[in-house]
Amino acid sequence: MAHCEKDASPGDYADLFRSYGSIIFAYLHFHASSREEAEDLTLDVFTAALTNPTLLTWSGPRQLSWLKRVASNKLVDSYRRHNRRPAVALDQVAETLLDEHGPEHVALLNEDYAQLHEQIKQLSPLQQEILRLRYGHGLHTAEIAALLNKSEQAIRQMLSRTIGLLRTMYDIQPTRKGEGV
Amino acid sequence: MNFNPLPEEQERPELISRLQEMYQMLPEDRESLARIQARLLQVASTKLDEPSLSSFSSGTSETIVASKTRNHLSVRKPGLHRFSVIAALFIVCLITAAAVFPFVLMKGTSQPPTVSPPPQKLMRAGMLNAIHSLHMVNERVGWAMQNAQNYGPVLRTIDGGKTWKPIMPPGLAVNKIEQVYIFDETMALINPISDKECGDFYRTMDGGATWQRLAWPVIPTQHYCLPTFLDHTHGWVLENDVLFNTNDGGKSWRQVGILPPKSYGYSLTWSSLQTGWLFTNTFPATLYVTHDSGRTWQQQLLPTPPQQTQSARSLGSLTFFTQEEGFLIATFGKGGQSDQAYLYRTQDSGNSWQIAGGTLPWSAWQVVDNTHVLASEGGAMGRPLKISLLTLIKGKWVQTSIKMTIKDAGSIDILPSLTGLVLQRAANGITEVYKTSNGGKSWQKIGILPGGA
Repeated sequence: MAHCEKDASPGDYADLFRSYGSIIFAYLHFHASSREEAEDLTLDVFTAALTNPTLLTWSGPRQLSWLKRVASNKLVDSYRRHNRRPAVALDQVAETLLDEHGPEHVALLNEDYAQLHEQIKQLSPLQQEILRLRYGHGLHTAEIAALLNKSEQAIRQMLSRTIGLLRTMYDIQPTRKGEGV
Repeated sequence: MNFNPLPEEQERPELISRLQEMYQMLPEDRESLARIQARLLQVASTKLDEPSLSSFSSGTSETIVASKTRNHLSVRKPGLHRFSVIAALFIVCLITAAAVFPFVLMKGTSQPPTVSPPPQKLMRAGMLNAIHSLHMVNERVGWAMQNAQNYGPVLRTIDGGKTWKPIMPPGLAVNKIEQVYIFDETMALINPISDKECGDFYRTMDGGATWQRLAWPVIPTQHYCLPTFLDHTHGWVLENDVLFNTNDGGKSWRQVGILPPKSYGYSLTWSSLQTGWLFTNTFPATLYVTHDSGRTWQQQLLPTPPQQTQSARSLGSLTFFTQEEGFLIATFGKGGQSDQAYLYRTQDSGNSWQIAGGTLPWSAWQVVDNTHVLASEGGAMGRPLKISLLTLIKGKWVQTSIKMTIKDAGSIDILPSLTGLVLQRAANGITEVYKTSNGGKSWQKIGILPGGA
């Protein structure tokens, strides 16, 4: 423990928040009753991280697993306090982090993306989720694997298949705008 | 692309670029993150004062610890609050009312006397994890754990909290505990942190004197385990929506069935070997019952309160004290402080449910007994946690604040006798144990927890 504390620096925690703040917030925002509660809970999670310097010595996927677990516990506690307890299988929702703010907000604003959005909607929820974690939160495949509790190999395969599928659908769209521009 | 791209991603950069644009963060989410980071900065600067983090104070702080501004989160000092004479009289009135009112109710709905034996009490199950640090089985026996951030062993008391003994499975490090499931005075399971959350678990049947390492029924790609036990031999475990049962205390498992709604937020409890209850909080919140040990499930309708026009938004605190008597709290509304909650009670094994008393505050979250409910508000950073005991008096819930500084709702437990404990971490890092015998009106320090960093 002393070794961990010696090597840690405040910047490490800033990096931790920059790396995983958005995904933890998204997870909590999806399940919390309000944006304000999600902000409070996210703060709680990273405050807990401040008291656990060992965390900084871990790999990214392991850090994310820890943060997810604390976030889940915080959420259970919040449910408990607000009579939405016990949502005891709450960890299960970590497999589906889809929120209300999928790509729709962009697709609706820009017709160029409407068709791609339609194609994404045809994918399985897990495929959509992996896309969101990968391109919305910029996670590595190992981090996605940790978050979804699957092997990295499985995530890489699924992501490859999904990209291949999207590419196929994307390429056959005759009216796609912007291609080649 | 700031992550290692796959070959497929490298081949189609424009597609990846569009995906990144489509999934870009909403402006309001960016604002939320900025607010969180600003608050985190304040919290971090305060944390620098704590001994365990003193090593960070000398670091260059260009980011989240850039400011030395102290926030207003003061260190709470443990101590007992004084009570006025009026408050003491009020306590007496409440306790008297609490003791008398159930009999008044019973008199009002009196049944012909029967010779049936008293109902058998079900185990008072609970769990410990990173934020739930205390569970009392009864007035004498309780289990506790320093929270996960402090890395302490699982502890057990047999003298009402005065002394605590560490009980850990050999070879399991204190920082490898995911959850501790407690079922009675002597039976507990530890789910260790592992790559496979439905992997192995540790079981004790003798209060931690000996441990056995057993295995969950693992479903590939699934990962959540929720065990419940009716006694030392009969139990169930829910792995996502698949239910398994055991008749040998967890040594072997067999699949029983699939839970009805493919939804999230299951809560599962059992009132007998055949009868189990679960609810989901996907709107509308739905209560289900099984009478064949989990093979089939039927929806159980709850009466809607007269003031409400919509179905319950959420259910919680589903608890059976005996096979016949159970409780749950249903909340109605759109979510928020204007929500209204109601305590539902069954006395006929769930065949019928009645609303007990009037409206509960939205913050009610735990049933203590048929006339007492705990409620809590606040508790997130910047807002102190306020815990109240609600007492049913003449058909109305009367709220009384618990006179104790409590940091986490998971560190307090109140038993039906209104005896309770609170774990309070003092400024010196020692976790102190306080006891109440009157539902939180007064507290007395009775011990400390050993261990912890």
